Amino acid sequence: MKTQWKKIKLFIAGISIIISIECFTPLTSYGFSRIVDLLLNNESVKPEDFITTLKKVKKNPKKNKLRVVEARHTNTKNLQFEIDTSGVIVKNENDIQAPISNQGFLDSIQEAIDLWDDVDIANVSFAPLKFASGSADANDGKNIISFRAAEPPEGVPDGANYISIINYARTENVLFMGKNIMVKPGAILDADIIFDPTNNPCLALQTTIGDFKLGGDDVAINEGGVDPSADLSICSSVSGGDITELAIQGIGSALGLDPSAIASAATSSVSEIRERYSLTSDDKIGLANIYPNKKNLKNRGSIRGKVVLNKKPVVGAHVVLEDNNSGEPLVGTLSNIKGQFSINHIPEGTYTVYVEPLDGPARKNVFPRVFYGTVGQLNFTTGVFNKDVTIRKSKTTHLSINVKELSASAFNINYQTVALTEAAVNEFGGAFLLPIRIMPGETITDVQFWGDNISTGFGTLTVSGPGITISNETDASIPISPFVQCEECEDSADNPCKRDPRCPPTDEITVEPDQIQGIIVDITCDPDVEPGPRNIIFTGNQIDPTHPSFGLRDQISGGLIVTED
Amino acid sequence: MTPVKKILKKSVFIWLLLILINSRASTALANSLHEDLKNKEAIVLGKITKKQIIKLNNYYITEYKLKIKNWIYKKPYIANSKTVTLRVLGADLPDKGITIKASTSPDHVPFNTDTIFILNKTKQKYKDIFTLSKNSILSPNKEEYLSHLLQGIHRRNL
Repeated sequence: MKTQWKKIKLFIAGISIIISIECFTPLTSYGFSRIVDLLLNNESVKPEDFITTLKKVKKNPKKNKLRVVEARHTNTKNLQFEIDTSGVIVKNENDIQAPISNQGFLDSIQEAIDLWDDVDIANVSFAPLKFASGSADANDGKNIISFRAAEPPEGVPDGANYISIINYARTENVLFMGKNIMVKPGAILDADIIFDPTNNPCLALQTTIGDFKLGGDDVAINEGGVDPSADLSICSSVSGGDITELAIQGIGSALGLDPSAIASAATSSVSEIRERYSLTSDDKIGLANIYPNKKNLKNRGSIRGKVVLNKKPVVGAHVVLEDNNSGEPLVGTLSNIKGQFSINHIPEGTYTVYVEPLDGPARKNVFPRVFYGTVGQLNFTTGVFNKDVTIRKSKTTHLSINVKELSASAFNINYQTVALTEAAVNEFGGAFLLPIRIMPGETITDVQFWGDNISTGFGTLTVSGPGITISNETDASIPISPFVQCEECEDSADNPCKRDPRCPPTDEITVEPDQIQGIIVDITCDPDVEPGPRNIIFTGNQIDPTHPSFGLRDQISGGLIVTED
Repeated sequence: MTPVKKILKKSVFIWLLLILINSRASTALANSLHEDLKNKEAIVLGKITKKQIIKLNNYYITEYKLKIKNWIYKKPYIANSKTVTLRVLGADLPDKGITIKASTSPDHVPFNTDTIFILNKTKQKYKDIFTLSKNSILSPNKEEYLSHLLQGIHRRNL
């Protein structure tokens, strides 16, 4: 009766806590490990049959059991990774053809592995790295990390800075390395990572000792040399290829982790790579959700729930726990096809829980597949649970969070420090150099934010937690396509060329610089602020009924990080 | 013509129209498309009609035949073919009970379904073979991709 009354209150208030567990039957603890397969009554579901399968399950849930197969290693004690540099055409370490020494590469990878090895809440340990006897091969049962594969794989888009190639079991009975073996579906049989500077010249730029020499001295591109016509202009502003940082991300993927939507996380595919060499609580709790080390997870609790829009489940919503004391986005996950979410091993404490669409820098195209071909919803605004959520030791807190449909006044905040190109806007949502790094006692000036309705008239920018203040918030036109483009042109009587002093005399101007609405602010961090990630939040303050934005919120989760160095 | 096909045709028309817009008022959009397309070889509406697994060196690659219904955008040097070949690193090997996934490849490539594909250059830079990146498929099913497409256009129009 009490539960029923709470359900009624939920209906009336829109948001409420439901204590009864029977309302939720989570399909899976979701959003941490990579999904390998979907099984209907133990038979693999073809992606094209996904929608009809869901209908079938809905019609007869007792008869039709749906199960998700998640990636994980079956044995995470002394995981062995091996280093291969046989593809590097070595002459000496000052040569572009040897952008990093064998030992230097091993040291970089070891540094990345040590970070994952140190996560004491997860039951994962690594054997010391060793040099491999062969090169990357997803079918040899060896986890090999190559710097420039001797025979680079085909079917890879130009520009990828590293590739992880992971071999998963889909069934219990697997033919692997010429033998029939029994494994758990989802088992990672082999995980290789290839760093290839011929595919992304920034990688070579970041790892070269001394001046970068385009193309090397005598090695053709098809033999592993770097393309001499490569555009390196982006490498000066974007740190595109630090081996250790990329390896931290790659090893996370090799452990079965899916990318995080919190920009400060090492496993985030939202942020550009920066030399930070650390894991966030989101990375660690994510790993613990896959490989829990129960011995070190004693004072922790769980959260389960559902995200709802107009009484329907929201797929692919990013659910985040923000620490009330520090403002840190502690951990985030994604809602599944039933709108359900689940996070285990959360430290005891009091949190603000919010649900956001994967917009802004975490653009949908970064997370194209939330669940087996179903993309995440973006048609809602950030919803903050209406009260603080307390996580208690060994207890599970259940929430149902109602979100509102996107309105014309909703926001979509993005950040930049450098003039954007349109390609960056489209591919990364403009998330250059996320997260913003600030040191205690530091002030960063003229930081630019842009997006739907991001202006002083519509709202105010803040940073979660104490000690970080925003000042001098002013409206601005943000250059998003600062480049003038010119093309060769010959005047004719009918079509005179559009000459412009910014173009060569033989050319006409074809594309003008472009601006977009936004704000510019200064960010100040007090000297005594604790290091760690924070959220950048834009909150609506417009109560005009024609443009209501009051209370609406959008944030870049983990968009700022307080660092000590 | 089914309503979905009508919507599909309409949205492709909108896309094409937007590409063609060259007025000053629409500079943001035109620039956006221009820049967005600069690093892509082509954007096509089509469907995958055949797929096969090939092994090159040590790597399993899925080779797709993509039947093109409409070249929404293409670089001038690309031939106006009716079919193109896509090679994507990774493969499902059901006879072995395994699946090999690459971080650069889409998680799911829809088969025999009208879809919009963004075609990328392969590292090997073949003229007639393309690849797909993680974000190359605008949607695996019609309703989703129409909404994605329209939202994409809206966002490009910021």
